[in-house]
Amino acid sequence: MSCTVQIVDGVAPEPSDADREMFSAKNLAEGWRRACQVRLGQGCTVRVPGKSALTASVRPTQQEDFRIALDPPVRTRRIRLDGAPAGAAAGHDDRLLAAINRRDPDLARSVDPQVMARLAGLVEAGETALIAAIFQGEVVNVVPARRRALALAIDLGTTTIGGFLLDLRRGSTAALCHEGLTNPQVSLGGDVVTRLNFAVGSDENRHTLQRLALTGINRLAASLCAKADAQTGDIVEVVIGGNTVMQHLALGLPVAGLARAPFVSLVRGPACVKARPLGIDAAPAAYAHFFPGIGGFVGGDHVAVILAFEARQATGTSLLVDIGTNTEISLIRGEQISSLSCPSGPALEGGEITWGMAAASGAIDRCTATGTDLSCSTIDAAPAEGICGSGVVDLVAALRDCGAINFRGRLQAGHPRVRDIGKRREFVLVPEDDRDGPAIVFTQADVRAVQLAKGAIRAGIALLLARSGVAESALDRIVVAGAFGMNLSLPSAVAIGMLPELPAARYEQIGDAAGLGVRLACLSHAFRSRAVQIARQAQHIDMAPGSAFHGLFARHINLPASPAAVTRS
Amino acid sequence: MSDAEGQRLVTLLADMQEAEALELARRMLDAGFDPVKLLGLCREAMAIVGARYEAQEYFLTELMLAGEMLTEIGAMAKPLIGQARDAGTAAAAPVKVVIGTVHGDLHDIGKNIVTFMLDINGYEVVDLGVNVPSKAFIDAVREHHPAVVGLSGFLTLAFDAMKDTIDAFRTAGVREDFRVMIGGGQVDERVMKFAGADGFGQNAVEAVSLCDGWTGRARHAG
Repeated sequence: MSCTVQIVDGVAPEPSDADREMFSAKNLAEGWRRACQVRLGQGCTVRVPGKSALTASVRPTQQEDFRIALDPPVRTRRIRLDGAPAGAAAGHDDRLLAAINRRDPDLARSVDPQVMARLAGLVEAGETALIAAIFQGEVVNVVPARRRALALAIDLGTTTIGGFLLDLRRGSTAALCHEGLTNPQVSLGGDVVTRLNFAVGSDENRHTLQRLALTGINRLAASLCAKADAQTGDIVEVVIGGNTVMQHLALGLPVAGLARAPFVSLVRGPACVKARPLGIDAAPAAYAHFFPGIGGFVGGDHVAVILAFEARQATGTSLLVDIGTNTEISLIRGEQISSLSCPSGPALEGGEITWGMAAASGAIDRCTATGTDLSCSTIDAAPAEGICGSGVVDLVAALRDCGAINFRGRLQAGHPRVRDIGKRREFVLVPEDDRDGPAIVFTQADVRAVQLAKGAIRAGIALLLARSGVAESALDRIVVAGAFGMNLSLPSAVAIGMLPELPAARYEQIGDAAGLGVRLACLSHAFRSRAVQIARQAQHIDMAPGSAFHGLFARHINLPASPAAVTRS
Repeated sequence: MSDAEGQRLVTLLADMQEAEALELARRMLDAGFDPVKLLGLCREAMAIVGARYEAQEYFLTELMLAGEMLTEIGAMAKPLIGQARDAGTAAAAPVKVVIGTVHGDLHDIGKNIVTFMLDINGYEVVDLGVNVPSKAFIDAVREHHPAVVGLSGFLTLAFDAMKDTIDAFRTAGVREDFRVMIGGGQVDERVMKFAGADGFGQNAVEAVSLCDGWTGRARHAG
């Protein structure tokens, strides 16, 4: 249980009915309670098991880096500001522009006054060798030449924010350093819908969410700059790719239109605003650039994923699946792209699962059926604390394999590890006797949550293919993106019917594609223009009534009747 | 003979054996089996399906499939009922319920389950679909004179739309003609008071209980 705590010292309050339903008499006597049920009256010591604490660091995912032609939208120039001022007829800004344009006439046409304030300080300190940063003819920063012109690329996820610090004078997608942190907004709701509902409650709520998102970005900026021995003032551009709701919230925009049908975004195109006034720590005149979206909930993060996919120069017909709380799916045939977003819920990330947890030490991440029994392994081979997203998919496949659930997903009373506690039926993963704390179980409701999630994804795939007139068998490749997708066992995903049954060679897992996409948009004007083109040209498939989504969804809630013929890894 | 066949039909329907059930139903009707009795057997089967759903044995798929089978058999049997007995022994008119997902919301799985459960419990349900404007609700209650109106919505903003719809009933002067129940993912007493409804339900079984209570009907054995 995600809120399980143990009161180890002092008087534990009387257990509530919900506590009695959850814990055995032995557990209750040991002080185990659900935090949501306890009101502490007097001093005591509460132990929070590892999985409950918000300390789970984000496991880095595979990065594929390559050299690209250096063509950043923010241009940098090494300049020397020498010679005397030309007299009162010319300002210092004219002198700066002249120095920048010496070799590239017309590269810079204006200077943000904030840059001149900074320049005044530099000149006073005798700094004449400088690096100037110019975005679309506007000088946005000057720093001494020994420092660097940096870009901050942000993958603004609902659950995790990824940050990458790039040197704009290096032609490689490899970041100087990168880091991920839990989106501080999770304190106000784990998924997009909860946060939308909170945001539409009042302007104040909405601004709170904006502040939390920007706090997360600033924390990353500070930490990454410290690692790279730089200052946030060296960041000459911030590029942000997030889902539609995350981008709206970070920009402080109203989201009421996204909270009700037909789910229209206020800003779909790319947004470019000054970073500092928005509240992002960067150079005083730097811009923050937000990715354009395709429409509805298919937002900037998915455009970033497509961009990263295109960088691989694949040919043929590809299906791109980015699994998350909302799963975005695109069918890509050369220039032709169609996309949709389906509500898959948090179950596949371990959310709303009784013993769900992040992919951290002690999480059950692999399950295999052996005859009528099943065995599990945990991350770091640590004692089990819960089960993470990839473990959940593996587990449901293994439950089916060992006969603990039927094809409808019903837990079978006759199975030796299935038990009924009151009205709750559950599969025992780790019995109470084998651990310090309550038994780790997978309940009937947990199985149902996975069925709903995988049914939604498969229905989304089916709808997209049907609308495009493409058969599953005609797909040359299925590319699974995202951190979760990287750890997902594909044979299990196929076995539970989440993904189509196709030869294993057609499947590919590309890891954190959104992170690569935002980096590409920092480094390359061509890629950034392509993002705008993708957003404009891609066809958004609406899941409005009559879209057949619900019928397809119902058809895919059950598990495949016969276990899929895929070799298990 | 037909008793055994009838029992077999109930079992096939309850066990989701779609093809066999539809074939048997067709065969029975062809052999002159009373279509009214046949529909009675379907209700019997659907009551079993409802009970299995409540016991978590069945899930959404089974309810939807059951609904489809019921529709198909209804389409086979109903034309024959007209031939068999013109305006014969009309039973007491069934109690009507108008139901729909309020405007701004497209979620309909929960609403469909409520419709199904009301239907197998003997109510005549008029389902207006999703994203239903207030005016469409008003038109429907004027046409059908229901005892109960069910407003469904999953999104939080649907609560505003529920209130909006109930306010429109009041403005149109029809609010007192029926009871209003609301349902959806997150409704509670607070939402019920906000919207001005008479009752709320967390699931389909509660919706049936509400209707039974308001219309003075005993709850079917399910």
